[in-house]
Amino acid sequence: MIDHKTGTRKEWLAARLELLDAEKELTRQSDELARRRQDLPWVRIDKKYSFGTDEGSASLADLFQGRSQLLVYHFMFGPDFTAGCPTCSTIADGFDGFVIHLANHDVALCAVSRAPLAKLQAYKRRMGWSFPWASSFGTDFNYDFQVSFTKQQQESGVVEYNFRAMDTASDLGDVQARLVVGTDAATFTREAPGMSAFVLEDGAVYHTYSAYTRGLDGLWGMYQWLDRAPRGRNEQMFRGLGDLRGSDWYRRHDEYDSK
Amino acid sequence: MSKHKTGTREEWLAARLELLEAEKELTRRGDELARRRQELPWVRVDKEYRFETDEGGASLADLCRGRSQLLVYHFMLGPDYAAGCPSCSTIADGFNGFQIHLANHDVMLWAVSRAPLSKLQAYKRRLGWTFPWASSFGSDFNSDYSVGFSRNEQQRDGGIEYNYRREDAWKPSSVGGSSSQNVWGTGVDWPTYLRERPGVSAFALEDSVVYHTYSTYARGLDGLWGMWQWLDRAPKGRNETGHWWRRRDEYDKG
Repeated sequence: MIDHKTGTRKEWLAARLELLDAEKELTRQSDELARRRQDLPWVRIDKKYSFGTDEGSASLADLFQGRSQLLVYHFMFGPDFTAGCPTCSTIADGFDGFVIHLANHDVALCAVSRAPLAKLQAYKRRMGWSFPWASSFGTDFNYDFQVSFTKQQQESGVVEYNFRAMDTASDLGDVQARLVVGTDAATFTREAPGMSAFVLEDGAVYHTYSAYTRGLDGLWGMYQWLDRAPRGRNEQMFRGLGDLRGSDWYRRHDEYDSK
Repeated sequence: MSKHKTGTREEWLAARLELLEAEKELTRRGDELARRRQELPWVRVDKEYRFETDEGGASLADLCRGRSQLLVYHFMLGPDYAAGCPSCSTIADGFNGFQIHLANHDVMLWAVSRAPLSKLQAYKRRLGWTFPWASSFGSDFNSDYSVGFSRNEQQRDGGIEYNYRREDAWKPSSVGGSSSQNVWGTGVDWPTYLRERPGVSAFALEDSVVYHTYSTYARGLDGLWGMWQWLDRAPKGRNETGHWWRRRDEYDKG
């Protein structure tokens, strides 16, 4: 006999209908938040950033590629990493497939990382991805959007991340960090994940929105699907930086044994 | 000058922090619903379904491929369709990339459709996908999970129950009077197109017995649709008045 409660179709349906109402309420609440995001004031960006891209050096406005909206995924790939963050790689495995739809709906989705372009290109080839990926190497971009921290900031014990002061303690060890991205833990945790949204109007770029840590949860296809599986996310989390939590069941998609 | 309200970094931050609280509340409620899904009673599946797969005939238990959990995406590709539903194709563009992670975490994710296997294989090749896709052709599977209906059911009031609600009989005006014989490039007319529906069903395998644990339909799929979730963070949101998306190979290049 199994441990989980079993029931008749009728019992299941009664429970399911109750849950359905709660799910509909959540969907409505989520729609409402999407509306509120659009109501945020736009903040004009006056600083000039220069990115390295496959097509040469580019300004923030160039990353729109003719669209009026830009979504940036802040992919953790620091200059010293030997490979991209495996967790970021799982979210990229999802958006790589639908970037083309957004690009045909006035939205450019682009990953941005601090490593030099050649490293990003090599890793992108390894993973078989095709989304645009720009290097912010040598610019303030990652620092300004709070997804990279200086050694000095990190050593102070507190960094500004996810809109608050976050302590930099982490459960991540050097051995594990080296295995995963080829650096010590401190170097690994000087990069953090996030997404930022921008709009281009009359030649000016405005910052409209940014989200970090679990603010990315809804964008993480793998986790949303697991939330519908019989055993849910079914994972043990370890502490990354501050509020960030990682898990160690997943690998990069070319690191699994086949079958 | 932009018509949209602009502001200083401080003004933005104040509004953003307020929104952040609401977002955190939403995340917590999402977690709570995920817990509640896991608490639903499991319903034993006694019917024997036969699927056709790339590896030959398969039972529902076979689709688990050694995992204890199975997620089925009910992909709209009926026996008469010449191509898969373009909306289902956009959700598949997302899960095609990460189903390998689920497969390494005790969860098999399959697409299942009513068309014969060779049609699924051809369409999958066309779109360049690798996720496993089974044909439920000739079985009751789609009907039992409320995603495939007969012409008869469609023609009478209450004949179709979708998303836990009974629907009125099909009328041409149901979809804005459109008389298309080739809805979204599927090669079928509206009633035929709408005899297939999208959904997700979840199953657990324990002691060789399969249990149905969960199904969701219509906007219950919203959170699984990567494209919409990203648009919900874009400056202009979903920004749509109609069906703007195409299959990935149908956009103009450049």
